[in-house]
This record gives sequence, C-alpha cells and structure tokens, in this order.
Amino acid sequence: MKLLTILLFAFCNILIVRADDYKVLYLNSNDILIDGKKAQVGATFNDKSIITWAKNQERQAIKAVNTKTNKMCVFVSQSMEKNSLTAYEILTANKHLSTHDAYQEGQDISIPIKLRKQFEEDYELLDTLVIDTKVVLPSSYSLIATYEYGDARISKTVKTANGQIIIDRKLFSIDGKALQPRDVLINFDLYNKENGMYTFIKGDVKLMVIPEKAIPSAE
Amino acid sequence: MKKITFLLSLRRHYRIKLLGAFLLSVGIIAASYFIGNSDIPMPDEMKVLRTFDSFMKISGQYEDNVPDSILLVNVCYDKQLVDYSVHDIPVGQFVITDREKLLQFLTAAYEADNYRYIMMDVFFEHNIESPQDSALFATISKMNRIVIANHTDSYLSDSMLKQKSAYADYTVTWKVTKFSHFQFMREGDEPTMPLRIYEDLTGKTIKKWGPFYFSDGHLCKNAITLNLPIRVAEDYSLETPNILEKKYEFLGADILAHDSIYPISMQLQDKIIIIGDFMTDVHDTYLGPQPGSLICINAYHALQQGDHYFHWGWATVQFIIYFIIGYFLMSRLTFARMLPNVYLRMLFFIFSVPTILLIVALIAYVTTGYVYNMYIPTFLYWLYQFLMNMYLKSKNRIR
Repeated sequence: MKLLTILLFAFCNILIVRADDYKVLYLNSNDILIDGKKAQVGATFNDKSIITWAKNQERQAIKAVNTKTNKMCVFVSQSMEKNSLTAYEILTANKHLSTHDAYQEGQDISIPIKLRKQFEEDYELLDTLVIDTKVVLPSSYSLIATYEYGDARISKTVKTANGQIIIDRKLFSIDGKALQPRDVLINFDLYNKENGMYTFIKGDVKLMVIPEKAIPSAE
Repeated sequence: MKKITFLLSLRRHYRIKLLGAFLLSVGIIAASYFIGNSDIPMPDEMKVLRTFDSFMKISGQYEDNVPDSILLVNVCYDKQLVDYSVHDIPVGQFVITDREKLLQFLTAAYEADNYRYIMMDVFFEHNIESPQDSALFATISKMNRIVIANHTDSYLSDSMLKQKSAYADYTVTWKVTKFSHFQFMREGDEPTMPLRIYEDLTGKTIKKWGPFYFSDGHLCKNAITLNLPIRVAEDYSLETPNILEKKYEFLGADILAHDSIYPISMQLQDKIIIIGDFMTDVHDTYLGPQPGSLICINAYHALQQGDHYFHWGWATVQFIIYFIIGYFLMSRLTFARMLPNVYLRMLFFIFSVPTILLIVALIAYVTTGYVYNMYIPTFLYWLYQFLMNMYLKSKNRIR
C-alpha cells in the first residue's frame, strides 16, 4: 500500500512537472471562458485547461506567457495548419508580376489562398449550390461574385456560413426580377469592410444555370 | 643502361609533378585563408550556402530555430518622429526608434541586472536628436554587458557611446550584392558587435599577428562564410493548431505593456537580448531577407561554436583532394580517361573539378556545419590550365 502511494505520488508529480502553466497577458474578447470561468488578465491556467471561445465571434485570441519557458504565445480560436514544404516548393518559388495584389500588412493571407483552391471545377446550379470550403470568413470579410449578363456587369455578395459558400438563384436576380443566364463565368473577390480592399480570389469559374422550367415535375 | 636513364628521367618527371601538386595545394589553402580573411565576399559563397540550405531542407533538417537563451525584441512598431535638418536647415521630420521606450526598457534592465547580454542593433546617428537622449545615453554608458551599433562610415550622436559601441557592417561588391561573408574585426583591429559579445562573455578575442589571426592560442580566421542557423521565417511557430509561440516580442506591446503582470526582470533573466527592427532592417541572404540583428547574432553563434578556428582536420582533407586534382591536372589526366567503360567515362565527365569540390564541401557542411571556399581553388586550377595552355601553344609555335 505504501509503495502504491509513493508510486501514485510520483506519477502525480510527473504530471505536474510536464504540465505547462500559462499566465494571461491580454485578451481580445471578454467572453472567453477558461475551465468554465471568465478569463481575465493575470489569471493562470495550464495546458489541460479547457478554453471555451465565445460563439458568433471570429478571431478570438489570448496572449499568454508560458511560466515554465518564459516564452510568450497566442491561443487562437481558429485552428491553423502547419505548412510543410514539398521538395518542389523548396526548389521553386512563385513570384507575382501583376499589380492585382491587394495584400495589406496584417491581412491573413491564408484565407484567399485557401479559398482560391476551392474553385477548381465547373459547377451546375439547379436549386442551391453549396461549396464546402472549410474556410470560415471573419465578419469583416464578404465574398463578392461578379459576372456579365448581356452588356451589364453585375456584382453581388454571396452568402457564406460555417465555412460554406451558398450560391442560389438570388445571385441572378436584380430588383426582384429573375435573370435567365445559362453558362456564366464568375469572378470571385474577397472584400474587407475594414479597409475597403478587394482581394482577387478566382476568375472565370464556370457555372451552368439549369433553367427552372426544364426541371421535370415530380408528380 | 638506356633503361636505367629512362627510369631516372621518369622518376624526375614524377617528382616535378608531385612537387607541383604539393605547391599548388598549399598555395590554394594559403590563398583561401588570406583572401578569406578580408571583408570581400567571394562570388560563390551565396550560391554554395543556398545549395547547402536546399539540401538540408529536402533532407528534412530545416527548421526555424531561436535558442531559449536568446530573447528577440522587435522595435519595428516602436517609432517616434523627430525634427531633422540637412546642413543645419530644417527639412522636416524623421522616423526613429522610440527612445522613450528604449530608455524605459534599459532602465528596467539596468535595475534588474540579471540579463546575460544586450545587443542593441539601434544606431544613434549624429544630428538626430530626441528629448530623451541625455538620459538614454547616460543609462547606456553606465550599463554592463551591452553593445550598441556603430558604422564605419557614420558618426555616433554622442562621444560617451563610443566605448559601448562596435561595428555592425559587412561588405558587398559589384559582383556579390547580397550578404554571405562576415568579418569579425574591421578597419584593422576594430571589433564588430558579435566579436564584442564574444569577448565580454567568454574572455576570448581575435588577435592579429602579421597576416595571421589567433584566438585563444589557436590559428583562426577573421572572416567566414556565415551560416544562419538562427533564423526567423515567420512571426510565430505553430505548436498545436490553436497555440502559436511568438518568435520575437515587441518592445512596447509585449515587454513594456505587461510589466505589471509579467515583470521585465523575469523576461530578461539569463537571456541574451537582441534589440532590432525585424521588419525594415532586413538584408538579402541565402535564406531570403533576414533582419540585420539576426545576422549579428548568428555571427556571435559562429564564434561561440568555434567556426572561426582554422580546421586542421578539414585542411588536411582539402590538401589531399587538392593534391590529387593537382596531380591529375599536371599529368594531363582526367578521371574519365582512367575508366575503360564508355558509360562510366560519360558519368565521370559530369564529375568536373567544381562538382567534386562541391560534394566535399557538402560533406563538410553536413557533418560539421563548416562552409569552405570553393571559388579560390576552382579559380587557381583554371588559372593553372590557362597558363599551361598558353605555354604549350607558344612552345609549339617556336618549334
């Protein structure tokens, strides 16, 4: 029994030694919970603590210092991916020659890059088209679709929610009047409301709009 | 009798070639040492570093690395505007590093006095003044274990800073416009910032004796092709999908702002502190743009690792390789000609002298991190061949 107690004590000590403790230095939201309690500057937590991010708020972060390593770190609400380079990416580099590069200091460039990869195919619009991008847009961003209809160039905001882009027939409706396009080439841009900047995402995405009248009745 | 005379003449012939190869090899090693000690970078240094770095990346040995003993302090967002004059005529305002914040930080560091060293890669240029100057300069001059940046072609704002300053310069040429080569003592025997830190922290230094340099009783080099193992490619490193560890800290927003919760004295404990502008003070290197302060700390790291010492082991390996190549050149032999198989011969044609040297240099780099110069041996072999061809042509013409 004595031996078991010693072993248990030693195991607990190992766990304590291994756990990293953090001290909160800064919060960008007042609604973040750590272990069920409201997070506050100066509070401490460890790497086993459960952080509950506030709903309906994008890009929440906690700046904290690891009291063991004395290194500052940032806990973020949005998961990020580690970029591992392939041999091709190591040996080559992509350079921009165009002026259509609206990169602003501080802008999260991973969003346009990730979104750009989503528009590789042709699409067909029957009822509602849902493109699952897994890229959650911050509230300050909106996705703009631009297409030509006759002589007019039409730009409209596309619905986005929970990492999905939702395209429906409202995209082809002006002042309540439905347009009747067939094959449309759409350009997508990301609009940042904070600085009024547009970032080009993808051009000439082919969308075939199936006419409503052609849909055979289910009856 | 005829046979013996032929053998003797053959021996003499071999002896000349062996002596020639020996002298050429010693000459290459000596030239590499003496020319390499100058501030001038050789044209191949950048290319070699880039090739090696790509190899390390492909082999999966690449990583961003800032040792825990180093605290990087970024002042890129800590700026102030000061009045500026040209020929004593006001021309407007100039952006400089916020001296109020520097004073606040250094005062706290002076009081704590628990840091290992402070390298402040901030230049206090003559003619640029701020209201905090007298207090700031007085604090710097009374501090221990601190070095500030100075330049060979500029003047410091105050003479009291001179004793705490060291050079933060490197040389480029019309051919080599990017950083690859770091000289530890400049302008004769004036130390650079990395050498000053090395002197203060280890008690060792580099001393000049004629054309030779010595450190701690060993033959050493005054300049090296600088490898950059301490590198910052991104502001943060991703520890887990939700935790980003900061690679450097901002002076105002991180260090000074949180003093009440996380005291500056705790942040500085046993650290070598590097203060610099990591966003605008960047220089082209084989890794791409890198902050000037990181180049300096890598140069200190190289000194600490002993990369400046003359490597007798590798010099011997180099000597053997140069000797073999030299002997082949003097004998007008090629590696390819020695092979009977035509395909093997074709393969060996690919292995020219520069390729062999590159492979050897790569082995040296991977095993020891030592980067040795290949431009000088390649150039000297080319020069030998060129002069020999000229000599043979003129000899044929006379005949």
